[in-house]
Amino acid sequence: MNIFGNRKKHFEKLTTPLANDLFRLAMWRLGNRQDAEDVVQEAYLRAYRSFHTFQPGTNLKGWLTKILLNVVNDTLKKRLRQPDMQSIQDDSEDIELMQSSSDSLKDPQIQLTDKEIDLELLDALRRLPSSLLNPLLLRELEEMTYDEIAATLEIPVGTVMSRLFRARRLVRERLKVSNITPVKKEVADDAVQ
Amino acid sequence: MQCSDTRPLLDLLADGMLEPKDCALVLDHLDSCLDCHREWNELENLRNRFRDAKEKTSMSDDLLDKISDSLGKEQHKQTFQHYLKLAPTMAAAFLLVSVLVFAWQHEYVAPSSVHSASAEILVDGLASNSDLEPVKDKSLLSQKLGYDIKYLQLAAWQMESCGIYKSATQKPIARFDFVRSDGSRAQRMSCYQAPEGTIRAGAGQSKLIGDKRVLLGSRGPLRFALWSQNGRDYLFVTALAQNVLEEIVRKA
Repeated sequence: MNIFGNRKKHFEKLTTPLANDLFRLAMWRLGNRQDAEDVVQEAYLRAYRSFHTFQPGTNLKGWLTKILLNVVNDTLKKRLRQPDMQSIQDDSEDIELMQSSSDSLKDPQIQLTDKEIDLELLDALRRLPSSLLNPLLLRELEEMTYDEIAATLEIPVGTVMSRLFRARRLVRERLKVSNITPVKKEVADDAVQ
Repeated sequence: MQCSDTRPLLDLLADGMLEPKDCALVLDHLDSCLDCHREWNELENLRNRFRDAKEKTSMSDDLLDKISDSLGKEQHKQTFQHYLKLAPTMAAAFLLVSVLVFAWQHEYVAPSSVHSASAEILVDGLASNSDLEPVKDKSLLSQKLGYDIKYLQLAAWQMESCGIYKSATQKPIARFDFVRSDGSRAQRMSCYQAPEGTIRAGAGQSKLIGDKRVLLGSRGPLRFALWSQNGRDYLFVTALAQNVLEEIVRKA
């Protein structure tokens, strides 16, 4: 086997155990299994191409997660450029706003099943800007420590704490609203007015 | 502890980031405050939903195969690109080797193959004389050859004729035909002379005769002796017995 074969084997040995974690993160960022699989594949390719830059002994999961989140970001940018989305300006604010919303979610053929996903939770999450969503998912799904989240997202630990607090508060508020039945919601809206 | 102090700490409590002392304070407050307790329950509920979501979300069985396939394609691509990058170097190396081989053939191989003569061919050439240009005046021989003739002492032998053996691929070689009388019949011997390194033999037996390292060989009925001396190659050819030839060489 040549050096390239050994390199691939070594790379797969190290990264394969993390594939499910990466897939889970991608799926909750994009809300769609097919998109998530595409993103994970692309992230693996990018990681393989730049594997020489990875320093052994450092946080491999953090390194791969950072690559995955970049691919997710690129995927969302690509969606912005699609013809039916031309009215949306391609800047970071738009990406923040649209982040996990996916047109494919509307398609029942490829939509995730209720058994597989908590749609209310997904709906609450997809309204979060990615600056709040990423720390929340890394904490809740990937069980990263504050320090690991800070290193992966390249933000201070204090920022991680504040963003987690805000993200959880927003998600809880949205889950509360979604739990109100239409009649109750009407009453609630009237009460607000 | 006030509710406003407790609320921001609930997240840290949930994440296990509070010091034990602060933990105890927050938990005490939660026991006595319904609002904060409700807040804590909501937080716990959210965390449970995430935990549930995590358990139910798993990749398809074939995703790893897909990843491995795409990595395999990338590996082939990288291998191809690697060799593509090496191509100019390999081409340059091939060119260099070609030039060296060409130079070697023309500078080093050519002298031996083009300018040297085979002793065997010279022996065979004795019979035909087709490539021999006779020279009647021995004093003109050196001039025509382009190099000086260095004569050897051959007692009892009479020079019968001389000439220049020529071919398109080698330097001109001087040839002398000698004869001597052995009572009832005449004995003959031919001697070739050329600058050292001109005459080579393909096979033969190396033998030290006097102070000369001589290569002895035979072609049909003829025997030959080839050696170098005084910057010249000498090739003696005769039908006489080998011991006679060796004796002639020893005395030459």
